Amino acid sequence: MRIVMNEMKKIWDLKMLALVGVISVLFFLLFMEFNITDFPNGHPHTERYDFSKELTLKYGTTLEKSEFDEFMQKRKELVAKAEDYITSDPAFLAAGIHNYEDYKIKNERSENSKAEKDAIWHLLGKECDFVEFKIQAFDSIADDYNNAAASYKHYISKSGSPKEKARLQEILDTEQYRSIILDHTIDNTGSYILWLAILVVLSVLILLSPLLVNDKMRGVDVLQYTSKKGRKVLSSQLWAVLISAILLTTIELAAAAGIYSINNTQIFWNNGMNSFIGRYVFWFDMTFGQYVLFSAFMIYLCALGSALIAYVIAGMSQHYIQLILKLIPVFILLVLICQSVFDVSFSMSNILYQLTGILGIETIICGIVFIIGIFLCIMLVQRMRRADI
Amino acid sequence: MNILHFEIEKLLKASPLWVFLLICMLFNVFLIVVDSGRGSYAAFIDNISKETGIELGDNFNERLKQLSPNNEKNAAYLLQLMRETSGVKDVFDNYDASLIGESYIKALGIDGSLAKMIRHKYSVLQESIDKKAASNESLTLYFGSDTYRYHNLLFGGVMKWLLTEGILFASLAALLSVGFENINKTGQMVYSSKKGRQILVQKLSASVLTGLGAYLILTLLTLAVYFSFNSYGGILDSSVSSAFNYIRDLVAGVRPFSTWHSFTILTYLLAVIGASMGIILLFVLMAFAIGVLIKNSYIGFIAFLIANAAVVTLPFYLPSTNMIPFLLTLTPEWLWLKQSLWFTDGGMEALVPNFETVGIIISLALLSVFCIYAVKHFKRRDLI
Repeated sequence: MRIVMNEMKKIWDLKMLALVGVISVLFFLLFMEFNITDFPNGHPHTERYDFSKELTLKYGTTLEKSEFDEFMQKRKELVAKAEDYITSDPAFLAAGIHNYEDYKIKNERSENSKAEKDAIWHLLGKECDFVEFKIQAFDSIADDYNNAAASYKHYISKSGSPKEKARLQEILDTEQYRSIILDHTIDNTGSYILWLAILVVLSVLILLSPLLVNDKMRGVDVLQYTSKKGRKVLSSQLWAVLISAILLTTIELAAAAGIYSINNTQIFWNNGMNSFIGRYVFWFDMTFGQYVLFSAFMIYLCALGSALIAYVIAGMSQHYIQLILKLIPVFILLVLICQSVFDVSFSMSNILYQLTGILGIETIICGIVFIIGIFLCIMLVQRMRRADI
Repeated sequence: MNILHFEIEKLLKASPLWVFLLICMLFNVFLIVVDSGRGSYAAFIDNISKETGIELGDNFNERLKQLSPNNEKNAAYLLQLMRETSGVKDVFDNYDASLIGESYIKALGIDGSLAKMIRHKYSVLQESIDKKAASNESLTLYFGSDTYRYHNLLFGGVMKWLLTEGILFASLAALLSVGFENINKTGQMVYSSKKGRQILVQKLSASVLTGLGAYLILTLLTLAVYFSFNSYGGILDSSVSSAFNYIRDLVAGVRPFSTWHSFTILTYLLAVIGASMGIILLFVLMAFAIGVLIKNSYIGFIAFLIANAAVVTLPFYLPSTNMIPFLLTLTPEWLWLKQSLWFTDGGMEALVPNFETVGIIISLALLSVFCIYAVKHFKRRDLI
């Protein structure tokens, strides 16, 4: 254990930690900050997201028919608000718009005068509190709710796969689609998880790779092999690498989760993933919270797999440049794996599922990365135990 | 000369470098095979262009009518091409480039000297556009309605990957060359010899020659594979500013692919290879200087990554009315990012005409100074 701790001290070198920290910050600013600062992004996503939040806070995880009917009353308030803007703003008067009905008629017409076009955009703008976008979002949510069962029936008739038909029928029968979670929320969280997974893999590769190469370049490995502990030190180093990978992943996950909580999407934690306002069909009856936790588990698998592969690559490299030259293709491969695994994981839209038709292929791939890492490590340790010094 | 020869030999004998190059080659072949255009509309156009020529107009239309397709697919393609090329207009006739500039100025919310520079850039572009209009440059075939896809496949895809791989290879070769004595613990012997620390000049030359040589080899091999999967034989003399080619832009919308000078596909390809070599040279200088300043090659490489990532990130956090984000487009990192716009106006962030050439020259000057500083610093450094 003492050797493991000393090996970990070598890994958690302050200079290296500072570099990993700077890289993580730059990576976050380049690829992940967008998911915080620009969420929800644009119209009508913002309005639809606001309604989904309101629905969850008011009615819980699902929207039942009676609750939906009650919620529909809100439309009158929105139209009344729009009417207020129309009657009080001269832009509408100039366009000959006196009430919301007039507005709708002009909006649906293909040709309008400049004053009419200006008035149409006016009600969609900030100066009118985006009220028309709110009404449109409200109507689209109502349509989604009313057509949800019909949509699933349509998917069932279109699908050629018996497995998919059965799953869609199950969602229809159990009314799982009544869950409230917007696809925009799933897209945003999914994109954040994907970039986080890539960041974790990158950090693990950068921090853990130099351990064995450092020892080789300083000639320490020869001293280690001829000591009382002998080549068993390789196992201690491997444990140090694995423990460090878990620690680093935990720190990065905790930091990323803390930052992401600014979005306040945790209010959907217990909502099911198959929703009437979502375009994805998920294979398992999981909640948003379970989805996030399972994604974190897959990130751990990828991180541990990457750490093991980094250990093997370092064991096969004589110097740093050799190490980097090997790490670059491996990193690109791991990025491609992450992109396919975290692409709306566990849904029928996931690219790995579409290619293989295997349920849960995402976890299997992460598991394979981990197992390949273990297998390569065993091979390396056995080879190094027999190697001449 | 002899030392240079040995320094190059050291790099040539570094097998991991060449394994890396081989992996890059395999990756490129994979990308090319996945996007192969065999049997496509573009292949049909290339094939018939040998009979019809590439200049659009009445003669071209007449020659098209005389063709007799040998199967249904080609008949459909021929009809499609006839539809696309009959009545095609010169996109540069009466084209007003200043509208692009004004849309950028409005989107950025800038005025004063920045707006003046953007207006000047588009007034110069207008002169190029007028010349193109006079010579009917846009009335060339390229790949018809498949042009945008294939132009981006070659210049935005394959050439971009080649540049990225070239940068990585050459930068790592530079770091390896500089760190070689440290890795092999021969530094104290080499630097205390008669030649001493002046060997860095040979190391830099060896890195540049090896990096550029490897890029050229990789480019030749990759392009050989690319052209064997995608036929360009008949249309290589088409102008890249064909009426079918365009630039998509969030602010200015879809606009013609207008270059400062007249380029055929072949000459544009050669120009892109030339500019790519210039940019690889810049990254070699940067990696070399960092490698000289930082003894540990691993930390040196990470510092190299951080420096580049910082330059890419910085403009997003500066106000668009500030001059710095515009100046940063002249850095090697932004020139790399904007590769698909080389030899055109360069989009919203480029302030000057021929931004890629200006960027390469300015960066070359600055990085040369950085290298000289690094070498001078190294000359005074304690070895032990």
